[in-house]
Amino acid sequence: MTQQSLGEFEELVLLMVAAQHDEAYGVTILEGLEEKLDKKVNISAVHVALKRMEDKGFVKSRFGGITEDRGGRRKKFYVITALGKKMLDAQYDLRNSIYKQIPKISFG
Amino acid sequence: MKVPPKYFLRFLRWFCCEEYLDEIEGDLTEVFIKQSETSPRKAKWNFGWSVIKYFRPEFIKSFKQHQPNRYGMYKSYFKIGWRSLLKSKGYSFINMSGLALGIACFLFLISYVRYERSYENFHSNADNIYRVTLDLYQGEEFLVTDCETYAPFGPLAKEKMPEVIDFVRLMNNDNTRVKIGEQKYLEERSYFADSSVFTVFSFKALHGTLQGALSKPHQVVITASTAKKYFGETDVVNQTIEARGGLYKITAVIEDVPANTHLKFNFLLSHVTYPKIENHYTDQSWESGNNEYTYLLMAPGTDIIAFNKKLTDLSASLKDKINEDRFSAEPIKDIHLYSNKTYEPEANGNARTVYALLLIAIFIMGLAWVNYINLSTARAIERAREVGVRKVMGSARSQLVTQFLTESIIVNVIAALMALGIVKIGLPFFCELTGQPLMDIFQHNSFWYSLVAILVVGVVFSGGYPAIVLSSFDPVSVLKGKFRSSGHGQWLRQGLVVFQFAATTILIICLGAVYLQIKHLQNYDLGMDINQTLILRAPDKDQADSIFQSKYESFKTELLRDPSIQVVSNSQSIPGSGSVAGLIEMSTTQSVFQVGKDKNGSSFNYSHYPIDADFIPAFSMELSAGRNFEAGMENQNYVIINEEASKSLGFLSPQEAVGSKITYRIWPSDHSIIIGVVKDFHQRSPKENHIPMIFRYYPGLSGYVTLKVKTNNMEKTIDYAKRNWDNLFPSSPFSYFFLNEKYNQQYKADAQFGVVMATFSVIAIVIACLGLFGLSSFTILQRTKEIGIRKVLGGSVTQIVQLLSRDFIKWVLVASILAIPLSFIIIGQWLSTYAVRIDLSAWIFIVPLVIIVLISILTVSIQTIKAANANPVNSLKTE
Repeated sequence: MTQQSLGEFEELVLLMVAAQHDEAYGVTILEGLEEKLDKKVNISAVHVALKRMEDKGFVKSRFGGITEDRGGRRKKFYVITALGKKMLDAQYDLRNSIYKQIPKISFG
Repeated sequence: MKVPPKYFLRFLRWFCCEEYLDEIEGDLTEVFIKQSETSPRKAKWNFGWSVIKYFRPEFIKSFKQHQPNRYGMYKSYFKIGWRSLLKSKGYSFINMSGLALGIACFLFLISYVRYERSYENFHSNADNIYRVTLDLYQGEEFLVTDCETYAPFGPLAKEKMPEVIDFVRLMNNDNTRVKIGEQKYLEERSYFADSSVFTVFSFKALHGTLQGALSKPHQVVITASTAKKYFGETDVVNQTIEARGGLYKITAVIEDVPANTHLKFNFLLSHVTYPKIENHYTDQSWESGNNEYTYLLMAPGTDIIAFNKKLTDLSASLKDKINEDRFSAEPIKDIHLYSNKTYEPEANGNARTVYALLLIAIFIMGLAWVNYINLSTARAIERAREVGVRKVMGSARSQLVTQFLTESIIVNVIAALMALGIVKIGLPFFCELTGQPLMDIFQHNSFWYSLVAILVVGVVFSGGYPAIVLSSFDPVSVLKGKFRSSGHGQWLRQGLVVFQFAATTILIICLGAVYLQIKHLQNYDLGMDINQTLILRAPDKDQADSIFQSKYESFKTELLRDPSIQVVSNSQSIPGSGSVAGLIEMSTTQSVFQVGKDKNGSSFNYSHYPIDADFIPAFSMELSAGRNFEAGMENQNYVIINEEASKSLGFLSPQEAVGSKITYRIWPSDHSIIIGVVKDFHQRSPKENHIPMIFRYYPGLSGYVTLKVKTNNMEKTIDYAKRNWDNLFPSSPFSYFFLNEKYNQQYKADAQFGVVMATFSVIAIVIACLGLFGLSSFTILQRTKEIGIRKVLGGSVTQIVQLLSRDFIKWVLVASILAIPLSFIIIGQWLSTYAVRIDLSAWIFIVPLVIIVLISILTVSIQTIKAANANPVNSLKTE
């Protein structure tokens, strides 16, 4: 895999994982996104994105303890990897550099 | 606390792979709980929707990996199955030999049924060929159907009816003498046939062409084996043979006619020859009698019912020619099993017999399967612990079912292989038993299909129930030892034993009835005496009538010199003619009536019986009125009739008939005076009703010479007759037979059916007893300790035997009693086809019942006596 790609929704999820460092799991990511984007997001979309990014190596996961309100199921916490961080940086730089090239346009 | 919708959760758990289930289910539940605080309904909806969204390849678990190593499991099933068979060799043997016997019988009988139903299939037009027969009526009353019809009918049908593509007529030419050079043969089966016989039917040419092979007079087509017999080779086209009416040129040689056709022959003479050699006959005349087997090739898809209606209308339009006779058509494929009319070209099979055998086959198969079910479920207790352990070790019920089914597959396959061996060995006997050529049954696909079907049904049916029962045990109670007796399915086992013995009893009762009926027919008072009766075929007429006649007279005088020969008579027909294959048929005439009475009043088929003055004494027939012919007197205008004819001619009593005059529609000027009425005798088999007959005086020396003999040294008498014959008729072969033997051939089909039934009944009994033997020995094994304790406490051997036997004998008794009404119905049905039948006495039912009970007591007591005599110490010392 030479050209690592990162979709728009995946980028958002990755940002959220990075932002909630070490405390990020499905539900917190979902809630964070819903709050920032101010719209409903389906949890399955979050899981699909997480699974794909884990396959690509942008995030890694560990299991937490069992809690009562999850029907006896463990939480799966996600942390951004160095590769993931690099990807975010590259993405950020790319956008910034292009943004800076925008000439001053007035919308009189 | 709120709980997520159960069904969605279960669905999620079912498809989702374990790896993601924690995360997905946990997160979903968390979201659900949070959401349901505000709006529970929406939360539920959302939950379901999300679950469905997870149903995608990334999250669905691989179902393939459910059973990691199937091959290993199957290997284990086979190994365990094999071991459990070896562990109890006795039961396995009973199981398998019973099944093998059952399968072998089934295959035999299925092959027989297939063969009986395969008649005429080799004709490529078989589905579109119909035979037209003649229904004879008296007024509106149906009398009998004659297979032969009038010569002009075929051409007329082709001309008038568009659906008739072609017709073929075959005229019987039985018992014809054939000469090849100096060699002489008597051929029983041949026909005068239209040349269309080869386009309607599918006979294959070996030499020569069939196209127009019989279109000219004096042409003949012979079969390969006949050609071999005459010339020693098959390529004999253009050779000539001398047969009825002169020389015939061989235009083609065809393959032998298959055995499964009703129309068998050695050669076919061209039909156009017949008018040339018999000058009274033209094939345009309705007056020449109905002597032609007529087959129509119809357009495919013709409605037979509608066509028969048209035939009825056609018959009505021909009333002036054929009186009240009606044409009717039947598909040739139905002839062998369903036709059974008068003047069939050969004795037909009987659909009833065939289906009875099919029923027996199914019975026997059922018995064998029942054995398997009974023995497997009875042994349940032995396997119960195994089942318990397997379940504890994590075996699913489906796996246990598979295991027991595997065992049943092993048993069934081995049984099938044994059955194939039995079939291979028993085939020659079976062919002899049924009298049908079945040696090639292995080559028929249907044989293998039925074998596979038997295997599949056997495994599912006989293996399925025990598998379900055995796999259903509760591991906890089984391992704790609470599972005491094999009482499980007790009623079913007993029910099955009842079924087995009821079926067997029915078979035996029916067998007894068949035997008695045949015996009854053979010993029946036929109204004549056919014992010690030697029949010679009349010599060939190769000299002038008068010389010939005087030769016969001297032959007769010579014979009567021997004290053992009592009467010598010459007649055209003999008792048995018309129903025994190979005898010259009687000629018949319709429309005989009293002079001065209504012409149409009587259209019975009267059999014409040319006899001499010694005929009636030769067979010890009695006259109920009038007198016999007198030899050497002018008898030309006299006739003798039988009582049946006297009735059908409208006479109130035989006495009234004597002296009256009768005449014939065909020869209206011919008036005959009745001089005597002979008591009815069974010209055909006593299965049938009497037929009206007219005897005319005709010492013309054709047909048969009857010798009534009274001797202990038959050889000597025959030798004496032969010496005189060779002196006087050196050019004719001396051929003789005993009338009672020939006559009894009519019961051959019944006797054969009886023997087949006896054989298979015995096998059925063997199978049922094998089952009972296995079942009782097993039950006794279960009760060894009980027997020991009873003996210690003072139980006598007799008491114990009684106790152990009672259970089985009780059910056998119930079965036998159930069987009685059923067999009563079956026998009644079967007997109703006979004109003469036995009375059903109670013995027919009681004797088989006693036999069955005795056999089963014997079977059970072998086991019980052994068990009761065993030393209680042996059974009690171990725990």
